[in-house]
Amino acid sequence: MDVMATASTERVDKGLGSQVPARRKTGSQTRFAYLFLAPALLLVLLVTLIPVGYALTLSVLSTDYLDVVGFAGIEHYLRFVTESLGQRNVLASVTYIMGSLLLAIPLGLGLALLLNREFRFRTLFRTLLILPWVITLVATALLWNWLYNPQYGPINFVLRQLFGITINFLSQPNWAMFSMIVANVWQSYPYAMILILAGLQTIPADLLEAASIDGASGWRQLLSVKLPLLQNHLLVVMILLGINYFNQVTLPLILTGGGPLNATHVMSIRVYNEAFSFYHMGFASAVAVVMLLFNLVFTLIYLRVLRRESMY
Amino acid sequence: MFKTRARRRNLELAAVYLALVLASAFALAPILWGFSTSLKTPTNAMALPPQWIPDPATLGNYALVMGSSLPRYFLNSVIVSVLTVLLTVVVAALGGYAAARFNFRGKNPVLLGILSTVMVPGVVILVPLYMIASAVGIINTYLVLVLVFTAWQSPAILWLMRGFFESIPRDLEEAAQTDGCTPLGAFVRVILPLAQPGLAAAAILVFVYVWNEFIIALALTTSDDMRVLPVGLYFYISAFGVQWGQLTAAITVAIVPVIAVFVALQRRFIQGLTSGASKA
Repeated sequence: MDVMATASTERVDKGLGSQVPARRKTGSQTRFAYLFLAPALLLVLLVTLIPVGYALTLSVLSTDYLDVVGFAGIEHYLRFVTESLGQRNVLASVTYIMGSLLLAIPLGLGLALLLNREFRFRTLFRTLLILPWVITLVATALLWNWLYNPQYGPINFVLRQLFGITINFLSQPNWAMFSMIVANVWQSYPYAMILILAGLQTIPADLLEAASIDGASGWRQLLSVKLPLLQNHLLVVMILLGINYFNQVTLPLILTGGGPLNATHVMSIRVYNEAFSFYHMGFASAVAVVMLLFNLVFTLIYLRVLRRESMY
Repeated sequence: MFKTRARRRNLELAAVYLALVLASAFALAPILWGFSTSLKTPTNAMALPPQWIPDPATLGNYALVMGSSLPRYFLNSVIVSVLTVLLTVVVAALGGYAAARFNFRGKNPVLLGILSTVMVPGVVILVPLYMIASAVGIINTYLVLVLVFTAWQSPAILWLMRGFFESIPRDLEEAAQTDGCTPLGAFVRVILPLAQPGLAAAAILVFVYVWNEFIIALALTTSDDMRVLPVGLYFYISAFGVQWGQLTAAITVAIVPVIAVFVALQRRFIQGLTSGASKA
């Protein structure tokens, strides 16, 4: 109540306030603004910007355990782009991202379209469907490890009953990447679903009504109205998910550790292993910087698409 | 004609429900299978054919993990999450308020500079953070985890808060300032109470992130008594061979709090999420 009262007196005083010279006002605002922003600036500087600078520096140095022993120039970068394992890492990352998107986007889109209707228990279904995304990736990795278990896991039990076969999902090179992608899709499709649902809800209802009056069936409305309007939004969601997949360490580290025979050795695992298994801090930093460049490119594309989207 | 249309609609609805039930089964199956295992005796956990419903159901695995380091991991997770949520909300609310309300020199470059750090993924700065924290001597402390998580979440949350503050009419704090409040006083007494829904959305997003984060916590903690839940779970595999009954009991303990928070507050969570505030 007090707030309302002061608000109305203020309207009377407003004429006075505007007589304060504009420049002096900006000056004092600058001081307060930086005071308010100081904690955020300090944290970002200490925890992100300085470490990024440090990573850039380390990437051109030779290191031994945690000590710098010399200058390496672009040696680490050259090694990464020329060695066969480096190419394998990039290929594995691309396969992982594309494979996951190929499953997660249609699944997320389909479920978002269903949840966008009116029916009973809608909230219940939405809650249940989001759950995989809310639990820690460590739990996801461990639970899928248990589901994939060759002897006692339920998936292999069913396979044995139906076809008489057992698949070592995580230790056969041909299956490991696919198995990792399935676990990843299980945990990340809800993110796609929520974002696409938010996009669907921005489609004006009268547009769909008009289509319906013109005799467009549900499918027709989907193909001719919803999907074209969503096209850009879907691209945004794909980039967000793709960036997420690219930077992920947890799932591959726990499910396969990059194996078998490097079949799932994505770039993020390479960074992790070089740093914390072999203590090649210089080389690990170089691969990390390459990853940062990829992130930069993805982000620029993302911003471009986003700007195009906001023009509607 | 009318009848067939009604029937068609019913069929369609049935198909929708069927699809959603199947999808929900896919979503829940791994969690339920883990929960079921956690209630089995060690022999039954490896029974063939698999027992879908534990018989007999036992809490033995829970008793065992509660006697291990799990309560300590749980406590660590609570401490780190709560401190990070509080600190992040304060830091992001202050910054978001400045971004929403003040005109100042260097505004755009400074704000863009802060926001651009969102695109730096953890894996890129893992090595430097580890080396800096070792050099400064704060590795393996709550402090380093809280600082790193706060710095990570602050830019996106700052952006989220900025949006919330912009939706609050300006007149209110101008009035308070006319009445003699300092900008900080106006912010604390007038704006913060009005921004509560935004603060709640921010708090939930940060909580879920910190409770689940693994890789930074793994790299920056070195002793068992400092491990948070996800890191503790990871070490369960190597520590006990794999005792699936105990491991799934520990997983259940780790995921129940976050599921409870999510179910209770999901409207805010989704609201925060879809406004673009999340960091991979």
